[in-house]
Amino acid sequence: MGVQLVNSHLTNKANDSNDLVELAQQIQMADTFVHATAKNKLTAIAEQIKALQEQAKNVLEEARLNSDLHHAACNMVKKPGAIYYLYKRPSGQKYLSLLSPQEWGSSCPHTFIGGYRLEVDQSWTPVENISEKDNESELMDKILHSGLALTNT
Amino acid sequence: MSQKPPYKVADIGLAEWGRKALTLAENEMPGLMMMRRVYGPQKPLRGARIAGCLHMTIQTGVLIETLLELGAEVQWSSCNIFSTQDHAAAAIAKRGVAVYAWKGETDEEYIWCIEQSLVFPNGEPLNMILDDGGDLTNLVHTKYQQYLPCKPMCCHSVVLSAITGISEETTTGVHNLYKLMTKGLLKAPAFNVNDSVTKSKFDNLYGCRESLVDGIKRATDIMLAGKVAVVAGYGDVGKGCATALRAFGARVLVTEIDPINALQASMEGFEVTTMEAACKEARIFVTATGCRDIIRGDHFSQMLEDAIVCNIGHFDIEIDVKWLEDNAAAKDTIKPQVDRFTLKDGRHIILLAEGRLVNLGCAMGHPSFVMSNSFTNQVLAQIELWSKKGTYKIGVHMLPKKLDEEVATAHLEHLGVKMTRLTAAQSEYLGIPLEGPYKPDHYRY
Repeated sequence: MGVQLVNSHLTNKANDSNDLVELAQQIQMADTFVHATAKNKLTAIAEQIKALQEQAKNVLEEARLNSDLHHAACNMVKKPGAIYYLYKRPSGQKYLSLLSPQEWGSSCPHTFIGGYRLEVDQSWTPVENISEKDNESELMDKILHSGLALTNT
Repeated sequence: MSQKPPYKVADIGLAEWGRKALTLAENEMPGLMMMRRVYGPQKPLRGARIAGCLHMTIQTGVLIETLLELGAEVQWSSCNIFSTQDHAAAAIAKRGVAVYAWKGETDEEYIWCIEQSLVFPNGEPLNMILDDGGDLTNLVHTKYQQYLPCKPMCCHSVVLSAITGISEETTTGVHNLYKLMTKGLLKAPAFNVNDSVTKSKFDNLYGCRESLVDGIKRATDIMLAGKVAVVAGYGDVGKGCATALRAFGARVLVTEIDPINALQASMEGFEVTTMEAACKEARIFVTATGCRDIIRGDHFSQMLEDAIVCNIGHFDIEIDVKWLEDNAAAKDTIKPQVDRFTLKDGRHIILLAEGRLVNLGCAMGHPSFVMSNSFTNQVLAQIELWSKKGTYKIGVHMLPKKLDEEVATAHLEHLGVKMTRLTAAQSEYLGIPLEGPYKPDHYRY
């Protein structure tokens, strides 16, 4: 007979009485992993849904505010970039004014609701968010600009 | 305490356009440019702090810059919530004048604007008033009496900085001055600029003759030929309006309370009738009375479908807009200053400029040339009052006829007018000086 090169007993564990148990354990572990992974993925999606819902709510609220502001009484031609101040008359009528409450001082005749800047896209930015909005649009401008530079070269 | 902004206009970005329009207007305003040439070097208005309340238009811009060139400090508000031309206001604000005016103010903002023009940046109050319609004059006489001169006996320091004089631009404001005077309430000498011949016989008449129809056309694009139009009031303004409407081929009716004016209208070929009769057949209604309650609910109810109703008198009380607001089933804004009311029976009324001055609300007001006549009188009145401080008593004064003639002369060359001169013999025959004045004060032109 020739020389035995490999110990088949050692290389083939199929007959090991522990193999089945190990397999079951592996499957169980795999199940847990799959479950955990699926859960993780689902959680990520759920989070995205939540974020989207939130975003959708913001968009709707913003749209309502924008439309409210555009429907407020105003005798002026509204100019993008300008800040307008929303007031409410005792009659309930809301109107836009060029005058801030500081400019009115103590003689302010109606209830002040808020100040808003009209943007080029006819949306409104509350005065307290103006610097944030400006930073954001500056960043976008930069991206847009560098993008253009890329396509130009 | 409110902080006063250096100016308040709708859009300062319009300044460049406004400046171009001002440059164009200067050539059309030879009277004001002559004032700059003649009086500019002497600065007769140095020390004057003029608060002006007059439609903030391009023409007014040329007036303001003339006052500045004559040495005055100036702060401005508009005397009507719709009359400001935003590019004019922007150009004037840009050159550093405190101007508080934009097209489409609310009533409250309107008063705020006038109030901002009272105290100058160094903390000193106004010492001259240039008014149109009397709102500024009345505000100072009621709410800000501390700026008016008190009796000569008391506190001299106050007298020194108090208001030296008032010049008033328009019929309504002059009427108000005489009312204040009769009641003993007027506290400063005033000049009636309106009744200078080169003002009311030109701006009111020829100005309205061009700007009324401009306003109606820009607002509605209506064909005037063949239509029946009614003009309420046949004063200088009414005369201009009626003539313009007729020139377009409209059949014009006139309403009047004064038999003299009624006879004038009639002899010009206009049918003089009452609003009760006219409201059933006219398509276009123009009020030019300076009075109140001219077109009322009972008239609106009888008007034709889509009748156009507008006013060219100074105040918004000639047309009963409140009746329309209260009684209409619906109101549809076609564009700013053009509202279409649906009455309960389904018919419609088109109201222009909410019943305020239609030529300024719906168009660009009077052309520069005719305003140059009016404003040259304003400048002369301001110079009179300021440089002859103390010589004019409290009361309502007029510019001498000689100055009136000079205003007219300043406008002749631009039109290529060739004047005939009196000979010595003719002058002697008529008993009139060679250099004028050519007419007695009672002459009516």
